[in-house]
Amino acid sequence: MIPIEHYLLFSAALFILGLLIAIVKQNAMMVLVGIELILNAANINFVAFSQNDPNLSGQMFSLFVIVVAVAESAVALAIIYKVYQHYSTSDLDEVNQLNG
Amino acid sequence: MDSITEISLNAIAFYFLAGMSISSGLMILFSKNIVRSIFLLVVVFLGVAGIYMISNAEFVAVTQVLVYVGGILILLMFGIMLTNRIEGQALSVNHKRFLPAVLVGGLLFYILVTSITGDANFHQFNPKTEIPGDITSGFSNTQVIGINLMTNQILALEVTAVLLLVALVGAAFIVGNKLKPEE
Repeated sequence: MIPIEHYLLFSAALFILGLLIAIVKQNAMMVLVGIELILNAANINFVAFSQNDPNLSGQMFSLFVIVVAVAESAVALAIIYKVYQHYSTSDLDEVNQLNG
Repeated sequence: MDSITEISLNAIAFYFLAGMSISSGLMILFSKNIVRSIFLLVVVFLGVAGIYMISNAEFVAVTQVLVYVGGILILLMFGIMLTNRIEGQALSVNHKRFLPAVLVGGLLFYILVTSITGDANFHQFNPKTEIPGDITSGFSNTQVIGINLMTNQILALEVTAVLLLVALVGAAFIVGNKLKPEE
């Protein structure tokens, strides 16, 4: 079998990539992409450790994480669309006021 | 003999899929084209789904393909179509803050790698059997997930259903135009 450290290293690499994408990119949509990558990295760890578990708790938890990720991205897209209507840009550095 | 070849095939598939996902992620990081980044995200999600499939998590893999590739990516494409409508300008994204990003990311990656390969002794969690669902019950993985969802995790399932409903109604309410009152 594949040793568990390799799963952990792979998910650590994916997590760092998501973090870098969320920091570096200026478009709000690309920040959302980075957050999705981070959630996927967490899911890989859950699935990797649930290989020993007869109850499959890790797989259950990763399914719930996927559902919450969907809800989060739907709400985030709605907010980004509203911000775009107000500021005519989706550049996060130019959105610097909260009173709508 | 059969099991040995199967294990090595599993390992080859794992490293191939992991390399595919990480290289696509790096291309997302360095690409300035938003649409190309979104389509590269398809490759990352499919690679991760393949790794779930190797790790005896078929149901999670199928859910990953259905939800991420079928749902979230379409949602992201629609978002980009709605929020980047400047005429005669290519869809590109600027990069900023490279130095702090590399500092934070490199340091965190160093900490993670040293703690994973260091004294933590993760060997004891190495997968021992081929199919975890078969150990006690004789059911397949997907059947165990279904039974769990209807018995132990029923509260979590209901809460998740309500959360999904609230989130989608909330998203529609934030975006939707208010109805004008009748004259």
